Amino acid sequence: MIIAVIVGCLFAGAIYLILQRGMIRIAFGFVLLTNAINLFLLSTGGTTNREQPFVSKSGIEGLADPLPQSFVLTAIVISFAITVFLLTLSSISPNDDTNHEHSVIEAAAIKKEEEK
Amino acid sequence: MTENLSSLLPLLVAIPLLFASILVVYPKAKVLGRILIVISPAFSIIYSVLLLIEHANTPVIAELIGGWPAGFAIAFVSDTFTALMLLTTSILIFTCAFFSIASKDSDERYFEPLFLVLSSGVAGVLLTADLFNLFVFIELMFLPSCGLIVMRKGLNKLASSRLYVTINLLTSSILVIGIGLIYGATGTVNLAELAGTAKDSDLVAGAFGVVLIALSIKAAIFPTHGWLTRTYPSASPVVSALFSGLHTKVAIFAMFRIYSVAFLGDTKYLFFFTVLFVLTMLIGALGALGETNLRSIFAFHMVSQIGYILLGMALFGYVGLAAGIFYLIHHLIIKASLFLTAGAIEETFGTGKLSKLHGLARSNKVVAISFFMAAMSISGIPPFSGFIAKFNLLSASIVEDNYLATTAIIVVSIITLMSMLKIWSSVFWDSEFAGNDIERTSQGLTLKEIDTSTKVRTTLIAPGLSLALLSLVIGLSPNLLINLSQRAATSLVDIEPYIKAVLEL
Repeated sequence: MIIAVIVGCLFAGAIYLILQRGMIRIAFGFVLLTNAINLFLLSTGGTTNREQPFVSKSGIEGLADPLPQSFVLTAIVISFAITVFLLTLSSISPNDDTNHEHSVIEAAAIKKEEEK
Repeated sequence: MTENLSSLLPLLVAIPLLFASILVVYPKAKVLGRILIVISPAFSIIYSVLLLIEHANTPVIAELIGGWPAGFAIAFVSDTFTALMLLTTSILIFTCAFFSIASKDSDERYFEPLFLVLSSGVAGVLLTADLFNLFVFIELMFLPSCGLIVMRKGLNKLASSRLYVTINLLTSSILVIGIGLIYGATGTVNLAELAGTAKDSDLVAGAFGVVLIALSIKAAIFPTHGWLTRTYPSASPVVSALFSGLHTKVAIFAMFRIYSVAFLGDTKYLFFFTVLFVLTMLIGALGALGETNLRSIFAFHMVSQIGYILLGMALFGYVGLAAGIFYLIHHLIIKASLFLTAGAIEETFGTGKLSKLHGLARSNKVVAISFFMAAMSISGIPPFSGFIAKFNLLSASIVEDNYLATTAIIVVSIITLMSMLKIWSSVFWDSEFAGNDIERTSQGLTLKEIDTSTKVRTTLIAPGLSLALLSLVIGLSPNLLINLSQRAATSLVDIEPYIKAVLEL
């Protein structure tokens, strides 16, 4: 139950941020999104069994499912790469995180268009 | 023979990755880079031809990675459909490699490693029989693409790459959620073990539905086609040709595979699919009419053609699938040819705007011939492969009594032809007023003229022309490809050998 609520909150925050204009907020949105997905993937293996897999002493009963854990591990690595790329993109883009009606790029394009 | 071929399957993924890692270490070794981006797809071409020959006897060959017992191991599987796709994508990558050398794209820093990683991801998606692996390989295709799409342009075009990156990231997230749901519902992500589960249980069908939604965003199906038509034209020409053949087509491949294995071609969703794909065809073709730039027109065409290909899936059955697969192969070749021809024009004249170009049929006959062949082929005029592809699809829709599809195929072909004629008359025919672009400068109005008598270099036009000729050859003797696509369709309809090979039953 609690994991469902957390995943839901993270998704809501992520979608809100992704829909913003500034690239840095989009990047933060994806950080939240990947965390939401990781928790979600973990929960697909069942949340009641929590013993560590493979080296547990208490027998097969109560062992956690190792496969979702390895999924999450892979997903974490991919999300690292993605986060770095998004942050790079936000740092090399012109300043787009402003309250102006148009971003700098659009404004330049419109100006050019008007001149014609 | 089978043993040797199957144990070498992982090489299709490993060799490009190995080459890429060498080139990351030596980014300045440009000659080495050029050699490697040509050798790697050449190897894949030879290998997939061998696979195709082998599949005449053994329909499916599988390799369990790491020698784990079947069911636990991640399997690489090849059947006729896979091998055919491998062959076509490798031919495409091969020609794009030549074009990138001619257009100096390959001189960009780290172009070659990204190019190779992309091609390795493609091979991975085509070969894997494991859904989570599918996700990983799709990411492996996506990450180098982010790098490739921002190459060769200034900061002012970063906006379109932002769109590309965010949309595709979101799609990948949806895909992995879907795969998580499948795992939660069934306890496995091995496609062979999941055979038929989506048909039996609505719960699993819902989970697979999420995966199919993610794949259809990747494939740019209406109403999620907008990202493709906005981002592809702003990438460099060779990159858009490469993406046109790889990203969307690989997603389509995965949709065909998942729908036939997991859903066993369940008929209750087919009407919904038909409506969706017909809308995709119409919107794409109508969108192309409104565009004024070569590659924007082609990008909209691509959306409409994706509808055509997937119609083969909506007409599920031996005939429909064979027609869809034939169309897929034809489309891969001809779309890349169009993009490369447009690329050659853009590289030479610095623009792809229809209003700025004119009279190329007089000054550049080879370019005109290449474009003409590709345009006729994509509109479905004989004797090119497009005619056979559309004819097959048309007869399949009649066999399946799907007259909505029949009507759409004919109507959309005519609209496609209209926009091709628009390009032809403004770019290739002479026109008195075209070619002049009025530009306002500080001195007042000036006419900025593009010298359209410049010759397009042979090395730039050769890749596009050779693909157009390939389409002509297929159109003149279609039997080989028809046989192959029928064999591929058989492997989708009858999935028994696939399951047996993966699970070693």
